[in-house]
Amino acid sequence: MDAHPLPMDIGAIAQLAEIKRIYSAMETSLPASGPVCVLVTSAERREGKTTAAAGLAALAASRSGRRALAVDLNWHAPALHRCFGLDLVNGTTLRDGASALESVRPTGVADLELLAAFASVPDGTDQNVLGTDIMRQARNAYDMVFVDASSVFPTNRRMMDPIAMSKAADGVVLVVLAGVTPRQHVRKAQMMLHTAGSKLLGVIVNQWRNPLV
Amino acid sequence: MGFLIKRYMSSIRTRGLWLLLAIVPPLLYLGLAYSRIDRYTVRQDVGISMDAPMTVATSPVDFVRMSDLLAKPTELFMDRLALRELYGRVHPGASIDLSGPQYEALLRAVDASMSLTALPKAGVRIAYHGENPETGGTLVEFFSSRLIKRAEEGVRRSHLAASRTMKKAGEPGGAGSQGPDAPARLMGTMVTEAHRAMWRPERLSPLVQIAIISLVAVLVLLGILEWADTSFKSERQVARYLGAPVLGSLPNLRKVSKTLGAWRRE
Repeated sequence: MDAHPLPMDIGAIAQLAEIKRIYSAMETSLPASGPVCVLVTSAERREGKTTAAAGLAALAASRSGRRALAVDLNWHAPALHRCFGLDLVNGTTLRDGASALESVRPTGVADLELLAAFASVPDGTDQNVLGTDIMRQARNAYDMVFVDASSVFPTNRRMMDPIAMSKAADGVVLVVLAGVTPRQHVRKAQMMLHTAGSKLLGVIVNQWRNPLV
Repeated sequence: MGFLIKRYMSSIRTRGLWLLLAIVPPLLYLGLAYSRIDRYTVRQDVGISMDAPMTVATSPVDFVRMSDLLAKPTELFMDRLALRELYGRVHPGASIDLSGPQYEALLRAVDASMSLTALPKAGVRIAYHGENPETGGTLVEFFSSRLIKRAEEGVRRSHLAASRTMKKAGEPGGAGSQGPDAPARLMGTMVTEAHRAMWRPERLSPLVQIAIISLVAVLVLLGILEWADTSFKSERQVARYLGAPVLGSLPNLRKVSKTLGAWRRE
């Protein structure tokens, strides 16, 4: 099993005032009732998508007892499972979104479950279609679904495209690593999401590498 | 404005090692200075006894000992008559102006660059320490021959004085008696040595100037790098540039973790 990627456990991150503020701001843009699926992405890699998705999912689960699911749809570079100390899932018998949900596991955080990334999937599987189906199935089965997607750039043929999958989400959160990511790349990712018809809930600014903070 | 200053200071802190670049030009300057030969020593040894009588420039009859001249070399080098002659050699055909800049420059050059020292065995060394080996050769040759002439004249004067004293006393002897034929002679040939050094006191000023200019250049470079950095530095920039709502900020979890850890330990 890989090392824990974060310096704090997810329960502690979910209790940070900043996460609570982000969650409250995001809630105002989401449907007041019914299941919600939020896709978390970023313009480039390593901007803090996994931290944001895991923290928001843990906070959502701790509030009003709603069943929450964290889904790792960044199969090219998975990390969400490490936040909860779990392993990747074997997906050789994967058929569709419903069968994928059979691999959901508890996380140790009350009312929060995890669908980790699949280490391998059957040959010929269209990962974007499968990912979209997983999101739809998860939205039907849980109150809150947080998807840790891959970054918009750089693109490659094996990636699960967050732009394509974002249409299946009720909203998209864009994580921006301050002090690192060029603003033009963020604008480009934003425009691509907009063109795809995705609903951008807002931006989370990750101050991890911002020297001014 | 305050934000820009904060950004600039942060850039300097973040890229602090870049400031080391400022020491490269001063080091290059010293390296280049060391690679150049910029000093020469031209020397000529003259065999002469320390008791040898030497003429005095200010008197047509008096003489001093060589050891006295060694104690006060300006008697040799600042001899006005000699300097006039030297001026004629250095500037052939030019009329001499004792208050002119060329004559003053010659005085300063001789005063600053010529030395007269004793050798372990009977003899002295006339040396030039300066930047121009040709000038050094001219000066050393001139003052060497001048020293020999003064020694020869000094011997003649001393014999005259001795004969006058003996005549007064009624003793035999007189102006016809002679001493040794050559009281002073050149020992070997003139030697020229080249020198180079990394540090000389006159290099302090240009070195400081280069260091200051380098530091300013690096600081300007850091400013340009910061100006060219198109990443977001604040939530306000994100909101203005993207026109999208900023939900909030994720703090630096490492810092938070340390703070929480310290807080728990307390």
